[in-house]
Amino acid sequence: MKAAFDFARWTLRSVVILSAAILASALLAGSSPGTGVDERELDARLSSGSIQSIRADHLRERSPLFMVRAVLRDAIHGSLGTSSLYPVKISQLLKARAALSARYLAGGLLLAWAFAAALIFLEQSISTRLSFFPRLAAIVLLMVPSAALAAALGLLTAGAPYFCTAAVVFARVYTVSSEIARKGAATRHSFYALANGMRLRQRLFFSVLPEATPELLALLGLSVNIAIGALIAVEAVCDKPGLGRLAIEAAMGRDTRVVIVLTAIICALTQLANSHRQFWIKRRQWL
Amino acid sequence: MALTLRSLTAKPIVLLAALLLVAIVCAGLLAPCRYDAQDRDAISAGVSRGHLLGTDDLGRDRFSRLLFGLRTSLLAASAAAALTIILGAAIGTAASLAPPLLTGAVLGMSDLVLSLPWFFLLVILRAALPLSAPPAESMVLTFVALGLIGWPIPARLVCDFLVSQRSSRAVRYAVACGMDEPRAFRSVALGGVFSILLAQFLVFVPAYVVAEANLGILGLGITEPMPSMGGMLRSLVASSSRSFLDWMPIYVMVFLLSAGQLGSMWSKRWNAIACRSFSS
Amino acid sequence: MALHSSPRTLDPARADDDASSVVRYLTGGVLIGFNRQAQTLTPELAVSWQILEGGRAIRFRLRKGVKFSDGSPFGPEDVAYTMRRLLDPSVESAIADQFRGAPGMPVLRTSADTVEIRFSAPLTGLEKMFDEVSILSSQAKSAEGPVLGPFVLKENRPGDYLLLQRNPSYWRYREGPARGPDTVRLVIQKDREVELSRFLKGDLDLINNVDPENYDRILRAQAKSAIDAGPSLDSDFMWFNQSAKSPIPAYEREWFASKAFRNAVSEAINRDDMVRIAFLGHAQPAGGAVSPGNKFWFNSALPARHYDAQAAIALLRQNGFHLADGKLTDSGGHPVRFSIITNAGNKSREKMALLIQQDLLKIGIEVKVVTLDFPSLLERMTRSYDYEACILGFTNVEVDPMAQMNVWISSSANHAWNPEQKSPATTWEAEVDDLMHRQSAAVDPAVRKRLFDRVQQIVADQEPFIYLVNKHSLSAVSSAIHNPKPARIWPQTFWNAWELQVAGQ
Repeated sequence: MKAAFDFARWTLRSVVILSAAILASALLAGSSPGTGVDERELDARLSSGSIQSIRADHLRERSPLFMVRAVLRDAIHGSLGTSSLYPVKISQLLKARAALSARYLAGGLLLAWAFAAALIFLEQSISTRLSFFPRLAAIVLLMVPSAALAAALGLLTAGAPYFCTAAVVFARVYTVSSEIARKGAATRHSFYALANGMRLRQRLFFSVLPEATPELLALLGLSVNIAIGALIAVEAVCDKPGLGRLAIEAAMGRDTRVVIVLTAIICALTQLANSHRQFWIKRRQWL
Repeated sequence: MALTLRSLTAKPIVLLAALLLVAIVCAGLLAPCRYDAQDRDAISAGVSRGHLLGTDDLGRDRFSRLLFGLRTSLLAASAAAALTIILGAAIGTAASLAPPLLTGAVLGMSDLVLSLPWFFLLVILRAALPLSAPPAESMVLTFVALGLIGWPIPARLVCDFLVSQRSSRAVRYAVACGMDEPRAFRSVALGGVFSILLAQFLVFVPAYVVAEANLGILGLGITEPMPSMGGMLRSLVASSSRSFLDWMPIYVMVFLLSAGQLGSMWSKRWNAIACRSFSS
Repeated sequence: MALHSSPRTLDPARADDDASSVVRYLTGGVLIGFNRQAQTLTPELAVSWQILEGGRAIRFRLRKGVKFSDGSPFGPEDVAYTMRRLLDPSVESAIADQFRGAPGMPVLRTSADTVEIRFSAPLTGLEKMFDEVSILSSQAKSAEGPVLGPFVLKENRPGDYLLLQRNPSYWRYREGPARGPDTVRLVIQKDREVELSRFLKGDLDLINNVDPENYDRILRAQAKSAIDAGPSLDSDFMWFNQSAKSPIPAYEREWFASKAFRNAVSEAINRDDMVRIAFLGHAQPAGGAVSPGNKFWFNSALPARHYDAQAAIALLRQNGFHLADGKLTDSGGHPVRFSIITNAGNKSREKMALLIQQDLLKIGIEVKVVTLDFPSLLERMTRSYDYEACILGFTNVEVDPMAQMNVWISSSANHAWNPEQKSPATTWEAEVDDLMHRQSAAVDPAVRKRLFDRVQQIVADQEPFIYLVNKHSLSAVSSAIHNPKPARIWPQTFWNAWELQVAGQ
């Protein structure tokens, strides 16, 4: 009963946040300079009449309420409307690109976390001196724009999007999670455990990790957003036709409908990624 | 003896980083020429007496541009990162101490802020600024905006950390040892929050420098000819042939950001060697 | 080869962006073609044509035995259908606007193998317009139906690539020795760096438009692949905002409206440095509205532009400006400073703006360079008029000045420096309006040339556009492609796609 109530509350909260995200993105896109302007207007072959006609077609893009209504109405009909950048329905556009982006996202996150986890395991169970080079690598990766990384790796391997996304996420995640683990290992009860004969590896699993779990889970949820942000630049430079590249093209081309739909998707993903913390915190409180 | 060794080994790298920082702050005094001066007879020239790091593709002195660019970006990105951290810490702490409904609302707001296309806000802000506004104004605007929208990540981390610390073993031990709960919580939590925020700060500074580089491609970064790390990184990405000198901004930034950590790691290593040499 | 964006449409009547135009060019069959190298008209689906009544009508004799890609026969009814659809206002075709100099729907008369199209008024350069009109099948259910061109669209993955396959029904393949490549893969590749790397690796065979920096790289790596065909039709220029609707202060509008001010600014710009630094020598200083690459219409009598900062200062002093302590002020004491906007991401234009900034500093003018993303730039240019000066360029695919009519006519929305004037604001703009209308009504090319030469003279004198450079037509063709004939006019490397041979095929 309580679980059903919690689930209903979570769903209501998610719907409210999603609605706010849709409205806010329509407002931002609609108010932005350049919305409703078509570069075809610069075509010297067009007569004034044709230019006025093009302007009239785009006039309503400035109205956030109109755009939200239009997207929701088209969503009910299953198509989400037609993109102004591509001559296809948005639902078709998403279907073709979502699978690719999902693979890059999942692959990148998995690689990054696996690598970070392995390094933290080695640091905590063997020696903290092992963190020197990974930290240096993380700092270097933080400084190199993901576009430069993607451009360099794109020439070497077809798996560049995975490695670039993983590199960006790793740089951010490793720095923070290593610090969290180090802090967890520096608590008094951890020292007591060691003094009482516990091995480093056992301490990691029975003392350090339980303390660090909530922050690590929060970081896991946030790493999804970090990965989404990285994917946008990576797909653009590697020229992979995923949702990330679509997002940047839609923003730069002021394709308001696509912007609204992608914001909704990112908001939904963010909420899903961060909602597990409620479950773990409640579970931990029972322990 | 060990104490002297430790301080000596810690000093060189940290000292070098501090000197570099001072140099950057005093860019106006140390730069051999204006950052926008074009030597049109020395386009993309190599290292020479007049140009310590050569010139870029408009004949501008790289060394001067590096100094001024580092100054601009480090100060601006650090200020933006500090703003993000302070805002995130305040919101995260408030959320952790608030009733559960309010905590949920704040965290929901953070999900919302993480999802929105903030590119449009930056375009709107840029459009609101007059075209005649000095480059410094557009720089301040860009970094303040970045600083204001980056709070969700540190806020979430701080909130989750503080919520978990309330019932942590450390606090329970402290209470069992006779300390009152609020004091126990404060003494455990503050240290932890500080280290999380410091780690986040070191992530946000380069992240904002890189963000400015990406925004520059869209005309939203620091306007030319004012140099910035973002602008130099942009040239690095866009350039068809990258030389060793093109990567100089990255080498310097990596060194500065890692100097503190390298210093302490190096000093621990030398300390260990010194201790072993004394004990053998 | 790569496209830098996905085609917006596959409807040939609506194709006006670069990517859509490529697909239209490769798949569409036209009545009259244009040899981009020789810059002359060639018979295509029409074996011959006649201009009647001074350009009021055109009669085509159609090629016999031609079939669409689905095997259905091509005939006069297809031409009639295409023209009716093209000129339908709801289609919003930029190509159709060229025909709207004669309002209303033309009268179409067909017989067994001829089509006569009669307009309500004479149209100048009528034959050339048909080079862009891809003939559609009157039997097809949609505009993306069977085609008459050398290739047919086989596969379309939006955002990824388009695959075109050789059309065996294409009349040149049926009638002559031309064979052409079996397939053409159009990869969507926005990043020019990656495009270049793929070309050097052998993944791509053509780059139609190469940046000067990348051109030098190709020259170093594969010298035979790099092609510099000489000055293109394109030009880059700067203009001052003279629109009465702009919110800029009145004293600034006064500067920009002053011919002497514009001439002085032009004289203070070092175009040779621009060519050398921004274009690495792959351009030439521009003197006027028409590039020397446009063989027939270029006015060779126009004097070349020379850089002379001292002469610029003298001219400004004669017209009420004062230079003191390195700062220029007008007669009202206002310091002369303005901003130049240009589109972010275009390296050459950003460099040109920065070079101009330094050049004008030498004559006491403070310039601020602001790069904006393209939609924001367009908003300022066409809606708010909130800008002072702008650097942009024309990508000209047409040699005939009729294609630029809307730039020179003062009432037009594309009259960049002061659009949509109810009546010409200056006497010289009134003269240009008159000359452009007269040349559009003239039939004799010599008369048209004389009239348009006078337009070029006025523009060179008044400098509403301060022309900066004419870029060279730089392209790259891999050694795997035989029989390329690179031209200066779009599409430079594949205008003769039907006769390109690929090694190994």
